[in-house]
Amino acid sequence: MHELTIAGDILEIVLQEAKQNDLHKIVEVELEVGKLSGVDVEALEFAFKMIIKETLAENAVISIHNTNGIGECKSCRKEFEMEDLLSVCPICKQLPDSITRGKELKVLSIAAE
Amino acid sequence: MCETCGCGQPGEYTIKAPAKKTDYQQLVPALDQPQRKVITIEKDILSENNAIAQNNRSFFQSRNIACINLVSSPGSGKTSLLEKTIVELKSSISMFAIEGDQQSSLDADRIMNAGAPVVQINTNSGCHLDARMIQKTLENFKINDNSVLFIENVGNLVCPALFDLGEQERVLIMSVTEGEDKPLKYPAMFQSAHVCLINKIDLLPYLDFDIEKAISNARFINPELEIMLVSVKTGEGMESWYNWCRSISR
Repeated sequence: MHELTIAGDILEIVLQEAKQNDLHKIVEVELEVGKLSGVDVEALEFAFKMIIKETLAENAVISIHNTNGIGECKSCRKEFEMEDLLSVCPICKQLPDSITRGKELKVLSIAAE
Repeated sequence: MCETCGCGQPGEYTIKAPAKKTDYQQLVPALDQPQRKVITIEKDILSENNAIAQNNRSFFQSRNIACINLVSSPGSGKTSLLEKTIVELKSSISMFAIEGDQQSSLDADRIMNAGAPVVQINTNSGCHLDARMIQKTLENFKINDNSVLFIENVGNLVCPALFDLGEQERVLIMSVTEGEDKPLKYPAMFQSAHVCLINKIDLLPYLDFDIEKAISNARFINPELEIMLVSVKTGEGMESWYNWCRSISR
């Protein structure tokens, strides 16, 4: 699954920041994974736990903010919350014209000791 | 009053027994506890892939190479479509191909026999191509200016949706044997595509496939999608596809 690729990309960012800041032990990695990003949180956690072995993030806790999506209805122009890509405007029953939140895939911060 | 130097007042001091345990932890910072340092990063995880994809895109644009990312479930007909397209159009359009599969060069062999220069990427256990793989391939795969490059992605409607390769167009192929609800099951991929080919229409008499429903589901998910009904096997509907290829090759 692509969560393994994503976990690898996260680890690369973490190790790069660790090197730049001269950190030796990463204890927490904080992520934002939007509900509309196409990434499964459980699969990502599993993949991440596997690949951090024998790195300086070996025992890091992974904290994930699994943010809701927000879309703008193409008809009434109102914003509505989206749990997934098939969520429709509660009034007009239409898919959004644009999605302003929920597709994020970010490393927010790392904590080191 | 102190009898030595005269300071203080009579009766000012008190005498008491020492505390059972002095809580030095409160007096001195916890030197044996590790200091925790938090670094704010706020970095997009796919930023590196997207940056490489943009480089790929700039490269293609500077050379007038129309790059097409072909995506589908396994078995929808990507390779057959490419084979037939190459045979039909090679006399008028310069075409190249990059094939993506977990293993084997079977697809690349077919494209080579059809008459286009081709390279095979084997991802081994990977389920999608990414921008770095394309960039690496382009280092040694010479593609002519003013040509069309078809990238046939790994057969998978899930993971390739996340990975921009630097393509100009994303063409999604689904076949009538996959069910008219396909767009609803894979909205991310259908939303990211520009063109959708519904293939194997020669099989319609033998199936309960509701083609109107398939089209309306696809349009519901992506109103901008250009939809073509084709049979690679019989050639029905393929002229629209060939015309589309001609238009993007200019």
